[in-house]
Amino acid sequence: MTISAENISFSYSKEKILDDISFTLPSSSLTALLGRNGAGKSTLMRIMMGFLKPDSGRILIDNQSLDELKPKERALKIAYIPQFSPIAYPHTVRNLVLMGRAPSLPLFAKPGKKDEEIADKVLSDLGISHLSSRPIDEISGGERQLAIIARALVQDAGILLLDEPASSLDYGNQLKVLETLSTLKDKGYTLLFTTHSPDQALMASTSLMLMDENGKIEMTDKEHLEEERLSRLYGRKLHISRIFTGRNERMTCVPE
Amino acid sequence: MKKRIIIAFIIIYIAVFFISFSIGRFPIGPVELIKILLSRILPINADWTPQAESVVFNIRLPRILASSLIGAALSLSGLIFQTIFRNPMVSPDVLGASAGAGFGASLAILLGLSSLGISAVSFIAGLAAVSIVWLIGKTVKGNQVLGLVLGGIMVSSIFQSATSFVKLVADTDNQLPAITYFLMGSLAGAGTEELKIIILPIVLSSAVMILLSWRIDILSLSEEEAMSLGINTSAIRGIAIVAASLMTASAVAVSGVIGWVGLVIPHITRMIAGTEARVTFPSSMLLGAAFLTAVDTISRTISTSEIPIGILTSFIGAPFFLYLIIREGRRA
Repeated sequence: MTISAENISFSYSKEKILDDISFTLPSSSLTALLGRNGAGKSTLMRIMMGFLKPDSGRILIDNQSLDELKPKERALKIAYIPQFSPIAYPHTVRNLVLMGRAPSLPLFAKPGKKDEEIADKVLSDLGISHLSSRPIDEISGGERQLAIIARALVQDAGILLLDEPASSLDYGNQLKVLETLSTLKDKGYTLLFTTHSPDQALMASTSLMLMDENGKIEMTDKEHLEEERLSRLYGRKLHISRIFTGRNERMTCVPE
Repeated sequence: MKKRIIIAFIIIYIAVFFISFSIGRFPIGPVELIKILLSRILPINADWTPQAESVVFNIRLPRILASSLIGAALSLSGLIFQTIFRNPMVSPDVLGASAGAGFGASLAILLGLSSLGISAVSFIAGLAAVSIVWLIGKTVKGNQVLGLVLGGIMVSSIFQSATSFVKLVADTDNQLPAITYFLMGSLAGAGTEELKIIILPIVLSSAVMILLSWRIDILSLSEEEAMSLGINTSAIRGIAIVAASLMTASAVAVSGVIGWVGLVIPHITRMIAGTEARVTFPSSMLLGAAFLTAVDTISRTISTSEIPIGILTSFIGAPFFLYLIIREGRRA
């Protein structure tokens, strides 16, 4: 599935957050959205979800305008993993994941055997079957993030938007989540995630979207990312170095 | 597992139902009771006294039905509000239903209306209070839940002041005691006529809520998560608020303000049955019905003059809640 933005502009009161932004994210792509605090990364995601209306421009999903989709139809195309998932009540992992079936079921229906099979399959694909009956507040942050990703997959949407999916996790869990995203990209999903860590972006993504203070974005694929461009984004002199691990080449970002 | 929990709650409720019938100034055993109840639909030889039949149909059955309906309604509406506002400390009167209904009842007593009139005015005033809060919530931009809850606190306060004013101008010999007694919460006035007003709103509301239970559960996630799952959050939340408020206003209209049931029973339900709404909704109704029927049996039999049930539920509910807080504190 392809998602694209066409001339999106958005401002909060008088402050311009997004200024005439256009881009296209194709199938089987994993894009990292980088930018300083307050640059408008989460705002862009909210617009892409239809939670916020842009002042001008539109979002297209496979050439269909987001505005034309009913909430249920939209949920079958785009899934969203927010930065914080506050837990009011400790649902079990399985029940939380089953909620992803909501857009596929009629109003009064409750998930049945078929839905449970779908949920169990996804839990097993992500390697978290053993957590299925655990309450969500009793598992680790990384496991919780995987459970929420599982819910997005159960939703059966081709596009996944993730707001800082790995930011509050320990290093091992960061890697696990990023690797999971990479696997999903290989399976054909269209993924966009925000991050404050250029290293996360360089490790997992195929392309980068750089959002500057003036509400402009610039897309580049990872191989062509210039040090100067990244340095300008964060206002610090940065170097991108390539390290051969013995099995593959990794890119990492280091300050001068 | 899920079914077993619900069946266990049904058994508890049935047990309380029969025990409650058999306790009182005119005890009726389970066999006799079943025979009397069935005699209305099956040709059974009446080997009981007419007095027993009259106690069953005119006194005890309406009362036990009332305690069951009101217990179920308060528990379910408390659970619904706790779910949709993502806050386990919320009770059914959060949007002003109790304060409004209490004011309506006081006003009706002041105007000298019949018991039926009191229930009707109380019900309307309860709904009016919730509607005002709803309108306030709609005008608040941004965090709608916060607007609703704050609106609920303010509107409750206004209606409580209005109730105080009614008490001030009420005749101190008859009306003031009647108002005070009503507001304490009691099922003594619950007869067949009063039940007729509230049975439909409570049964309909709870049926719709049980049908929607799974979607209401999704509202316990954050707003944006629920929206991203294709849930029309304002519509589902709106329906849930209307249903829960209808149930609360119905309950208060007949029984006055019975506190704590709608706060404590949902907690106990979650402790036993987990968090899944399709289990907790029916469970909390059954448990609430059993609890209020049991407490009402105590309130009408513990002494020669009846103790208002609202006093007993507070005596039981508040310490229990304190126990929950301490227990949570130890776990954390």
